[in-house]
Amino acid sequence: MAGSVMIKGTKNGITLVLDENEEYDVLKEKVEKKFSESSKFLGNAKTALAFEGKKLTDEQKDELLKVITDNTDLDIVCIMDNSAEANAKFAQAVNEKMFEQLAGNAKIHKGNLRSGQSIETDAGIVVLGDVNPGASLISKGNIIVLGTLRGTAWAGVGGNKNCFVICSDMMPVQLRIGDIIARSPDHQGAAVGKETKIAYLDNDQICISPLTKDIINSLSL
Amino acid sequence: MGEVIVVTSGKGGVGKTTTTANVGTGLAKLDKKVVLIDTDIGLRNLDVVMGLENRIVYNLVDVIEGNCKIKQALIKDKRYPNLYLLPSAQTRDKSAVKPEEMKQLCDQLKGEFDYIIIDCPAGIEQGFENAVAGADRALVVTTPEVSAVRDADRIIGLLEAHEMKKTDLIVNRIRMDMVKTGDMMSSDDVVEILAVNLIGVVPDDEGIIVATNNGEPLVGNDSKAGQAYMNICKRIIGEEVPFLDLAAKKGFFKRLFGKKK
Repeated sequence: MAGSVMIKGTKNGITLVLDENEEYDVLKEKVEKKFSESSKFLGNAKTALAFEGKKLTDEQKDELLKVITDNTDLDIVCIMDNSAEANAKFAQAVNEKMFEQLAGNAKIHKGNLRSGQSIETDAGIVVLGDVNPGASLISKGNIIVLGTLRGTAWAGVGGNKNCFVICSDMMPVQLRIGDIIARSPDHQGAAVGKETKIAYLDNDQICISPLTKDIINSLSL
Repeated sequence: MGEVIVVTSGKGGVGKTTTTANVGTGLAKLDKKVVLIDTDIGLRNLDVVMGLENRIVYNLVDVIEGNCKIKQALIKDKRYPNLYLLPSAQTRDKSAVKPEEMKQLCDQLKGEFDYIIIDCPAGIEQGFENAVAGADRALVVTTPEVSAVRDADRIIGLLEAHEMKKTDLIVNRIRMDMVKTGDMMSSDDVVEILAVNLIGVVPDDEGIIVATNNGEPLVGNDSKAGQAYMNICKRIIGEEVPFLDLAAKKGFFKRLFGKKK
């Protein structure tokens, strides 16, 4: 039966679905065939693996893992449990690890970002120029704009609440940090002088304040 | 069951978005439950004219692609609780939506709203096809210029090809002083060429520019343009309203000094 072994890609890695009614040895053979066939497609990604369907012993899992690594260039980092709770925990752990690795990294964009243009990255973002209304910056990390932010900025995608947005002139249409959204006031008050400001989360509220030395010292990078 | 009205023109800059915003707001003022849909993907404006840009979280493309529920993407207007906006996406293009998908979306919204008003992009390509796909009725906007009238004629032809049930004409930005001197086509001239039902004539008004910049449609206020838009709304819901006398002078002083000249 062709459908007794299936490979599913999920947000966090690969799920191997095994038919419960099939013998282990038959499955093992099919897994080998399936993965060697799709080895090119799967590439050499770093990924996590989960099993679904047939109950396996730890030895069998290890054996299948070996079959997979022997037949593909995949780098299986870990084996996941396939419960929702474990998945959420796993996703969070991956997110945190990614953030640690990426906090020091940033995509640097030179020039203005105009309406309809957007930068979306797992790393931080530094823009040397203005961000106009209709343009968006979307980052899992921090966002720094050396210019006027008039568009939308979303720092800490994935829920990181320690992220911040800094810009030389803060006039965004909308700001998002983690899961929190703040919009600009409907009636703009009188324009105040340009000043470098920072937006950060305080008790699940987005606060904007001038970038003082104290604040810089308290930033966790 | 609601009615889906597409606001279209062919030519750009004749006032489709302004008309959509004002007609939508006007119908909401008349206690109708209204949703405005911006189908100008990649060049969205309706949210700005409505002053709702800062509230956008999800958009039309998110709804079509199933990233969110329709309810989540609808933005409630800040003035009228029975008025909603479904904004367009800015970072995508017209090909992100197919006509069949728009039709499905309109059919879903019909159950809940009295009027669904679709702001059509300029042009006759996919954006137009998307906008008219689910529409029961069309408002064609034109200005009294040959180029705009030419494009409106083309659009009316295309609407007929789409078997649009009802097509009405709005002549926008008319200047009675120029009509009088013979420098501008009158609304009658335009209707003679296009041969469709005239549903409203809106005078050129500086107030429109101010209203657009402030994000607050002027429909229903005491300016001539505001009244003209309100009359269009009333005609849409089936009331008989006489056309405004746009040539009438404003007040006593103007009449006094107007005569001297």
